[in-house]
Amino acid sequence: MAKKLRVAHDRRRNIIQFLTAVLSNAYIVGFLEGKIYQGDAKAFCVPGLNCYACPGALGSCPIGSLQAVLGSRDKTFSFYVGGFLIAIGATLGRFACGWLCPFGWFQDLLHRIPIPKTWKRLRRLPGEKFLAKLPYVFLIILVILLPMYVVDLIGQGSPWFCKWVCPSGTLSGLLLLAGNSGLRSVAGWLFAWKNLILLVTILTSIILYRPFCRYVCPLGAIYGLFNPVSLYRLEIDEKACTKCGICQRVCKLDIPVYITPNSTACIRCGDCIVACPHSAIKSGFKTKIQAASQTASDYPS
Amino acid sequence: MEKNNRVHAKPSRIIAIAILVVASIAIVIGVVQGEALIVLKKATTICLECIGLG
Repeated sequence: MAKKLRVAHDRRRNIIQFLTAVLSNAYIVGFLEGKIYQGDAKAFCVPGLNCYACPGALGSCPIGSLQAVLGSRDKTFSFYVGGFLIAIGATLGRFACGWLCPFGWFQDLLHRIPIPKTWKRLRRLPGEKFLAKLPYVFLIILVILLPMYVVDLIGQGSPWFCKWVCPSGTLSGLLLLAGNSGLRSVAGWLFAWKNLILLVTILTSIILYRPFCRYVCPLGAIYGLFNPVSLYRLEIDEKACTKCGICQRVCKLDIPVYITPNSTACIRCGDCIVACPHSAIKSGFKTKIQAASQTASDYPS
Repeated sequence: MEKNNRVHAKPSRIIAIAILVVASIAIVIGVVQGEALIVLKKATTICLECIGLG
């Protein structure tokens, strides 16, 4: 029964991730002709990490957009992209990472690749506490400060994170270059560097769950800040929870859910909810625990 | 136990809703200031930095 529930949950999440990736990248002509979509929909950001240089992209990557606005002349803050990120964070938190991010799904798929029996999948890396803070470093330095303050002669900044780190852009680049011989001819050492990062991300994703999300992604860092206060949240029913720790054992990010159900690292995949033998973990915009608590306070005995 | 349960169940909904209101206002300000156009302009030309060409 429990296994059936887990399979059904996995399938549901996979379908939603697949649909999100397809809807975000539905410009088929782009893939066929090696060009990008240039319509007005690109003024809108998508919730996940989905490079706007992808041939199929119909919307804009919020991290790329943030750097574009911060790096433009006369802008010191992006109300538009900042407001969008805060709105998604306050509504869903990192649910967006677990269910709506195409690059997150890409890593999920890689993690399903079978490995030789002599190999071991890792649950965390040595120095996890330090590494988990790296996304904030990338966010502050490469996404905010450098695009704002390192500018060219006309006052334009460069998208440092996209240029030097983001493997999602490289993946998009490979798809774009596949159909565009003109672009292929100008690929140089920067392209090689970015492909190296992509390769490391791919190989690491096979043995460790979502390494990019955990140690690099500035988008996840922003959404994670809102996990403790977002409208969508996880809650523990203290009466039902026996603190058996099964939630932590099934969590691929090794989060002690029964202690910190709304940890900033949690991508809200929901595996712990399905695995809990006591049904002590609830999730939603208004969970059953909240509703019960509210009813009790409305009608005191 | 009941009290403990209530503490965990106490939602921070008001904080989230207040943040959402601020975010909505920020989005409107951003659009008025022309930031959406900056995003559109950037996103409709191939971002060479993103794909590792420039």
